[in-house]
Amino acid sequence: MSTDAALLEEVGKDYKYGFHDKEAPVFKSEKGLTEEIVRAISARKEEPQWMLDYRLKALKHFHERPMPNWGCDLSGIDFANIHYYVKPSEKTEKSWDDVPEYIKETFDKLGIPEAERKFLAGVSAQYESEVVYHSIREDLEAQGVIFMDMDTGLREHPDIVKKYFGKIIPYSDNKFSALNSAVWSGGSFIWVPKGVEVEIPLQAYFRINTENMGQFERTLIITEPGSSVHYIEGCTAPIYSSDSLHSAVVELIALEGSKIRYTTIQNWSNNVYNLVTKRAQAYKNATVEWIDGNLGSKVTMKYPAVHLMEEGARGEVLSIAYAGKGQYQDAGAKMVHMAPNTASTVLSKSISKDGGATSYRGLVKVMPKAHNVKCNVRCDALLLDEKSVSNTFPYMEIENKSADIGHEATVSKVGEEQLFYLMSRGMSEDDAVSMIVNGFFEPFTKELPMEYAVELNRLIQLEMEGSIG
Amino acid sequence: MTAIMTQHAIDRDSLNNLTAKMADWLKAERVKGMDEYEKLPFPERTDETWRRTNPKWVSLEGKKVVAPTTELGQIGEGSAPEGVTFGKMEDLYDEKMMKLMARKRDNGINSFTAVNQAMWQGGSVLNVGQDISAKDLALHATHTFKGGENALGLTRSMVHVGKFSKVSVMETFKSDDAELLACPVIDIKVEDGSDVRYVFVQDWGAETTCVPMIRTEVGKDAHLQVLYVGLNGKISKLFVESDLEGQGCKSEVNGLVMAAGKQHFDFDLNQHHRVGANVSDVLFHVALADESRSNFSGNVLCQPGSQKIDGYQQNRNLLLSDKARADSMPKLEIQANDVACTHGATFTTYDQDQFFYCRSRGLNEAEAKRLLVRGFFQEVVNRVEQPVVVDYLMDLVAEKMDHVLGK
Repeated sequence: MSTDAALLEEVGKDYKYGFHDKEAPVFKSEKGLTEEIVRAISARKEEPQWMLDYRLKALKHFHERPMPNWGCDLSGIDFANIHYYVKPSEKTEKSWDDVPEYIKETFDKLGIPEAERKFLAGVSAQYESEVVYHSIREDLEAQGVIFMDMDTGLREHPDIVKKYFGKIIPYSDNKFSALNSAVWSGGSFIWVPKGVEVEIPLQAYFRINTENMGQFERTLIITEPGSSVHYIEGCTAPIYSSDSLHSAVVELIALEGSKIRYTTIQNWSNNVYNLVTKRAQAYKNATVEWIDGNLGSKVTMKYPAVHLMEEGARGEVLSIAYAGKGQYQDAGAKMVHMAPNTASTVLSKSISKDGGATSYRGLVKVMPKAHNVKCNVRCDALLLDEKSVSNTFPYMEIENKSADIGHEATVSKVGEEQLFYLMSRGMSEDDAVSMIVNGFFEPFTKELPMEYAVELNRLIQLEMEGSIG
Repeated sequence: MTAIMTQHAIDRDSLNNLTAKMADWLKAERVKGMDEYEKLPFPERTDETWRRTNPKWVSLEGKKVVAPTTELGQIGEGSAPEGVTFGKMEDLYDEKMMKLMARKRDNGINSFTAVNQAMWQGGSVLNVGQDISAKDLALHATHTFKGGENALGLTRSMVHVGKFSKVSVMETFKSDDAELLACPVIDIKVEDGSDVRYVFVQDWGAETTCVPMIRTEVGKDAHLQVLYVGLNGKISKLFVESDLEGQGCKSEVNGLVMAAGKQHFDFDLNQHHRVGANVSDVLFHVALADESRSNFSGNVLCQPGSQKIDGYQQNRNLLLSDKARADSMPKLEIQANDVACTHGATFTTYDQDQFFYCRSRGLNEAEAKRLLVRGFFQEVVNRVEQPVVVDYLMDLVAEKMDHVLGK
């Protein structure tokens, strides 16, 4: 316990977003998880009966399901000591002026209004469990794109939600998807009509702000045939003295010929358990790309998956992970090829420093009838000091002979020659390492929108300071 | 020795009978094995190691130990130089050998090795002194089992090579077509500066299931090459636990596997870098025909402080049929930063252009396929280096290919 406390103190010292506002939520559920709480959440949201039934089934499954005994140490999670629902203000705001002042303050520190000024398509800012601010550019509305928080989505578009909700990730998928299915709140709901290409990325900013409050957002994105969308979520959370749990479920459905790109930058504070289930289905000639950056959190277990359902589907996962002191990043990707002529690529890059641990844990599965599948997996790991750990656990299950599968992984330290060259050109060792690390992450950062790339580079630079000597 | 001796069940009474006339040290070692066997839980399907091979298929329940007949010989001309002792386990295993082979680490112990320690019957010993070179020939032990209902084969083999020696040894395991579960344990200890090649040839009958364990310890600047040749048998679950104990050493584990029918292969390989500045190298080539299945699980483990290691792991799978299935899990667990570890896995069928070319040169379908499969194995075979051993192995592979791909 004392080491944990020391660790948190350490973390608190230079954590950029390490503030938290005085709480003033309108409704906060009791700690702990019971049927009454689930019923109360559902009643408060005035949900249809089928959703309540679904939540109760999921809750039952959650209680029956044992904790996973592989991967990271999850024994620090105390399910009885978590607020499962917090609602900050009564109704979802339409314009920025109506957003309560204290919430704005937090957003100011995170740079949300700037994002607004930069003509970003829509800001769906999840503050605590509910989306409090929502704006969609008028041209998007005119195109018929639906972009709203999940609760509103359920109220206003029950047909679409009922058709897809829980179909990609059933509540029985794992213990944490069951938990999310029982108590979910907030998240984004996006529906892109046939043939519409959303040119500007849609963004949501997530924050946890109530101590011991789990955040269980639920995101559902559907692209109709021929459409495309790029969704970005970035997460930051203030420091707390006891562990927080974040357990989201994200379901994507890319129908024929459509394209979804889902970008995440996760920078939770170093006491958050980040246990997320993300899965996509790509139908005929559709493309799904997960761009996934894991920088913060205490423990992350996240394996974005693409199920390639029909011919010509493509899946891509591009991920980076950074683990500093006391962090365990267990990230990876799953590619399940169910149809012929499908292709996928996984590129995973990780850096461990100050005793942090990173793992790549991935799956490539080729079903017996999926002919001519191509898949390439590449994992690179950099270890910056002797105390740090890097693991690679790739699983490959190939049941078709025409598959062309390649997997490669390397683990190494910063190249001596590269370092020597840069220093011979007059750079300090710190700057040289920082430049090499930025170069190492380059394939990832170049896929990000400008302001994210800049922020990420700055973050990495910050983390690399003092990494030598 | 006759083919069938008394059959022993796995229990204390049988152990007492078996050890009645044995020396105290041997009795103690066997009893220790039994203690361990009783203490260890039998693997379950939910264990990560056993997820792909159901432990029920290799149950020890009600099994009775049968002894093999062992033939000793050699491949290649000439005679083994002085200082090379090669013989049967029951003849050569003495207290001195036990002390010599005492293991530093406690990895590589499971229910099968424990029961083997308690109840082993048959096997071979190779003990080589210092500064001895026997490079033109390979010593060869063939263990043949006669199967039957609930038959269990438990051979125990040992290879000990003193400093600066060079030697090759091969063990072939055979059985008839009756039911048999075989759990051979092979311990190999290579002292500083030696160069040792060990070949495990699996030529079981159609109803034999096996769980072999190969444990190795490689000293400073030594080189050990283990080659697993997986040809026949029903279900195979191979364990290789390599301990790299010295700087500058190299531990190679190679595999050459030709699976067909409904054969099931499962490989579990761990390379433990106990100190820094050494090299581990795993190369497993698996060709799969019909409805056969292969699972490769390799791990390079690098302890904190084991700097400047080089870990290489490659698993290539050649799928010859639509119903064959290959799973691969090449893992890395690295806790030191100054290392170069890479691994790779590939899954392909034979190249259509190469196949077309062979056909255009007048080869029939079977010949063309055989040539391509042979080419696929060549990278592993090239590592063997000893021509007599290469010829011997290629004959075995050719025989299996006749069977699987036709002539």
